[in-house]
Amino acid sequence: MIKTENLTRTYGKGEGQVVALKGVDLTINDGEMVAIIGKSGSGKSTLLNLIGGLDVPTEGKIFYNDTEIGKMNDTELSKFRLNNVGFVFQFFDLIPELTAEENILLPSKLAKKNGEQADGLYSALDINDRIKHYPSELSGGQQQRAAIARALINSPDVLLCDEPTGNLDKRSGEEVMSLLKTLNEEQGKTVIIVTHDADIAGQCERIIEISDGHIA
Amino acid sequence: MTSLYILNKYWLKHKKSFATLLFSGTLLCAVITCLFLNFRKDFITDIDDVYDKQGRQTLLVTSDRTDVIDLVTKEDTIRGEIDVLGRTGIGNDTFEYGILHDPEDLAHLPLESGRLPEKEGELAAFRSVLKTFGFFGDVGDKITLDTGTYTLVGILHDEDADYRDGTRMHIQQLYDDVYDENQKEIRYYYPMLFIGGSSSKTPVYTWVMLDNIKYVTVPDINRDRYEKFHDEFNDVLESKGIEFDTERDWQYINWEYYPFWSVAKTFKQNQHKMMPLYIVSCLIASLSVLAVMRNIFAERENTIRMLRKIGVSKRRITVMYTIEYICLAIIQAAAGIAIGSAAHFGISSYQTKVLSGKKFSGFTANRFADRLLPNSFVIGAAISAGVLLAGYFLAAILSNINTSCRRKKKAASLWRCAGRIFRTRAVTVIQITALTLICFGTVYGYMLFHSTEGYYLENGVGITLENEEDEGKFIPYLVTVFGKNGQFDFDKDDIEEYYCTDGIRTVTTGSFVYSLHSDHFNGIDDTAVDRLSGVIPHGALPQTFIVSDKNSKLKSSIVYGSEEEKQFFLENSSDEDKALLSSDKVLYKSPIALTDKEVTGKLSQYVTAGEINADKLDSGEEILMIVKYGESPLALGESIQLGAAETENGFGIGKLSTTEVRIGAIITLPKNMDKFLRYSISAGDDYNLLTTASRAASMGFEGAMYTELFAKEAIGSQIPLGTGFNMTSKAQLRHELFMKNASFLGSMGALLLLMSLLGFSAYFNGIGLKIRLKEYQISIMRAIGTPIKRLRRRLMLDGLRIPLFSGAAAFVAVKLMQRIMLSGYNKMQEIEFSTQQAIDAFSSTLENNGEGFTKAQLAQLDHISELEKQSNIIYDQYLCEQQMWFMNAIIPTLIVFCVMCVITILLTRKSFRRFTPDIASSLSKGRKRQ
Ligand SMILES: Nc1ncnc2c1ncn2[C@@H]1O[C@H](COP(=O)(O)OP(=O)(O)OP(=O)(O)O)[C@@H](O)[C@H]1O
Ligand SMILES: [Mg+2]
Repeated sequence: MIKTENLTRTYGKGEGQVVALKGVDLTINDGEMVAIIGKSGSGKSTLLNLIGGLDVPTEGKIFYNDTEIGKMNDTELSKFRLNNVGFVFQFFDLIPELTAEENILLPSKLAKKNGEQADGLYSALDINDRIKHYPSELSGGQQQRAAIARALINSPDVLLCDEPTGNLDKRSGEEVMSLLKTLNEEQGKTVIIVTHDADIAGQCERIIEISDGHIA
Repeated sequence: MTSLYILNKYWLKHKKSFATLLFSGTLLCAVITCLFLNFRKDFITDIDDVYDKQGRQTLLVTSDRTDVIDLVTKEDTIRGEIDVLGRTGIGNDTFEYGILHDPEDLAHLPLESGRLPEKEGELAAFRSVLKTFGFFGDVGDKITLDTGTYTLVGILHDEDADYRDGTRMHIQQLYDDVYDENQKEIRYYYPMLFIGGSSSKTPVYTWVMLDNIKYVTVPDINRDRYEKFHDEFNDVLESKGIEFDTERDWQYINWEYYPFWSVAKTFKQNQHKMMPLYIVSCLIASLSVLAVMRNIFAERENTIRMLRKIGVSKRRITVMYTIEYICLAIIQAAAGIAIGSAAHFGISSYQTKVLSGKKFSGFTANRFADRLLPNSFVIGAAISAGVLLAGYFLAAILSNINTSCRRKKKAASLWRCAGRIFRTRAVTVIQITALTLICFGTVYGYMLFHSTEGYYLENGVGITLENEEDEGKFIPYLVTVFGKNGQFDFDKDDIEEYYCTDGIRTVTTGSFVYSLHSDHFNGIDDTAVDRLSGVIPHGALPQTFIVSDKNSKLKSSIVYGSEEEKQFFLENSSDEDKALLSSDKVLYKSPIALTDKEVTGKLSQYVTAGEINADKLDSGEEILMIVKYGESPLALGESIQLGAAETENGFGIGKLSTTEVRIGAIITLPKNMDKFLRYSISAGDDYNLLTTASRAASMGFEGAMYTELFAKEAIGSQIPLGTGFNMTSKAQLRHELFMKNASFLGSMGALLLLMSLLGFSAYFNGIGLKIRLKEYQISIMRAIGTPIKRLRRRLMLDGLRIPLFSGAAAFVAVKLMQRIMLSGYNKMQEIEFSTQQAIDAFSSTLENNGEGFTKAQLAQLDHISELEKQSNIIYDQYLCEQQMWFMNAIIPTLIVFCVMCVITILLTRKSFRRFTPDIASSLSKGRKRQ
């Protein structure tokens, strides 16, 4: 169960202060598949980052099954992220110096796992023939799929996806969605998807709309 | 205008980069400017030292002897000219007067006051000449002579011998010649009055003043030959078929040949030693520029792309940036020159005001310096501009290097992946180079500093104790660099002050010694010495003899050189002495050493016969026999008749005074005894007599005084006036040495500092830059679950490889350099060996030759010179003087390595502070930079 209490994130100070999130209270149960929607700049990515521990809230708390992640130090938080959270970034964020395969396997190597489900992921995401390539040699969609594979490699309990289908054609998008759905349904993983696509949002159990840093 | 706007905007945004860039260039320019100004100052000071000691001109030749001038001159022969316009004066008192085209030409003449004439109507004259005119005014007064009215601007010094003595005496001699009725034939006179400006009058004759003469390339080892310059010169002229009346047509101005180029040579040597540091500093400065430039290039790429997109032509962009670099170069040159000059002004003021050095600075006008040295400002500006350019081009090249990765079959291990992720080749190259250079430079500087310092610490500065009786030479009191035998070291031997009167000049006629100078009345007697504590006194009477039978075991009997000489002595002797001189008695040279009771008291352990009886020594009943080599020629208790030439007029034997005395003890000196003790009781070669100064004086030996004192502590204020002592103290020598080395070592220190500053700034920049460049990658790694500590550790390890690699590289480079230096030294030794052989061969052919040299011998000499030159070149090139191959390079390298490691760790830690828990932000920041 993921729970946020009065989650607030402001950027900057004084005149130019931006309040990206204002007191968000949210509870997402284990095994839920949630879509977060909202206008551009409404604070979706900020919320997801906070949940994923990539950012610290200005105010408020985040709990994973009663554990407050704000209380963890960098090492604990990193370990938590590595093993329990899979993050698909809005801008893919693959390491340019590594091949797609290396990028995908990196979390498993860091966690000292052997990444046995890698092959399955490659075929599920249809990137089998492109894994030896560097990110700069891949198309946007291929990069996005590699990024998804990387998020899934350590089979985390929670999947945080920031517009995972933003760069994909309809068919590929659907394939990704069905993969996420399978993971959610068969393996009971919690999936949180930020999206602009109403179709994708529609496939989720719950839709949370954010506007101006509030839950609408 | 728009380009200016963009540039302005850019620099305002990157103030730090701009500052670093300016800082490197300005600092480099400042240091180089200051260094070269320092060198210039040293150079001018050294030239002045040479003037002080020797005067500049070695040879004066009249201008109509172009054949001779052609023969002896070479390109860098220093030339000055004095046009003699005739005679001028008041009434019957007239002297030659000459026109001075450049005051520098007479810089070797000692000025009592004022300066040398520069403009028309100005006059400088010797004090004695002015006295002859009845002029007792001062500089600034008007003086009317036959040829017009002049303003007296300078008075040349010609009385009271000072250190420019040699020159003065020669000029005096030339001056005297004018009035010598017997030498009417002399056509050319050296002027005693000098006027400035120009004259329409045709000169009667012109003196050409030359130095650094081509012909005189005789080997240094053969010092004596310089004194025979006159003869050799004639030989050469003869061999070339040139007729030359040396008496009439030229004058050899200096006592001893002193090559002017030695100054330039010292300069060159110092430059040579510094060369590695120069190069390293420039490279480091380039790297520092490069490091900043690379940053700027990376950041500018977007700007340029944007400019191109909005339609600015490529050419325009190039022009824009070129103008920018030119402006930068100008700013840094101007600032650098200003700072460098200010620094030099400070240094030279300190040297002249606080350390009371000569009043010169790098700004002092000096045409030799202008001609022989590069312009400090130009050098400073050029080097800094060059460095800027080099940095710019290197950065341009580096930014074009693509770090392409090869396709791998298998996914790499985590370690390798990390290696690839954090690799920043260009920065690493800069860092490694910077550190290697710093490390090398520091170790080199350390070695240079240490060996220069060490050289003086080890060899000390001291005085040659001349033990042998040198014929026709000054008994030296010259301060020399300490070296091999018969010398003492102020430091090691713990001598605070050394006193010596002017040397007694003794000359020989046949083997008969008589004293030429009466200066040996200088010194102090026993009463004065008794009052001084901790002093070892020494004196000697070299002109004494023993009257004995023909079959005596005594050596070196005195004989007359010729019948004429015998006649001369007989004529100058009293009746009593005439009887002695014409009897069948033989006079044996027998020098007497003088030392005080305190010293004789220490001799009992060396007594081999009899005993030292102070009372009997004092009463003059007994005298001591000192034996250094072989047997004592006199038996214990033997009564001897001692004699001495009385030298009222300094020449000949006025009277032979003899006195009876008995040998009280025979003292045999072992070789390994205290050298001061040994020196203070010695005179002559194998044996000598020993008594105290007062005793010797009361026995009728005039001038029986202590002429040398070795003081363990400062006694300066206790020395009575009028003793004629010259003092050399440890403090004084140290000061001189310090002054001599201060600028060199100081400059070196400054260079090292600059190098370290710039190099480390390049290196530090690199550490920060690397982490900034990899911010994106690091953030991704963090986002997917790598603790920051782990990343930091990894980057630190990566970073530590740089000092490790650099340290090793620098160590290898230093070792290699030492190897090369040693090989140079060995090569030099070989050449020196063959030089020695050539000299030996030459000497053996010399024996049967009387005056001049044959052509074959001259050829041999040329060969020797050639070898000498070669070995000198190698000596300079391989910095043999420094003997750096003995230096331990590992410790300084290790120290530098450790410092670098610590700094690397600290800086990596510091650079990692940019990473906050807000990974998302730094991810998006990094993303933008990619
Ligand atoms: N590092 C930052 N500094 C300052 N403001 C920020 C920062 N990151 C985000 N913001 C601001 O916070 C607000 C929310 O941003 P966020 O990225 O969460 O929007 P979003 O809903 O994900 O939009 P989009 O659909 O375009 O991705 C925006 O107004 C944005 O400008
Ligand atoms: Mg977003």
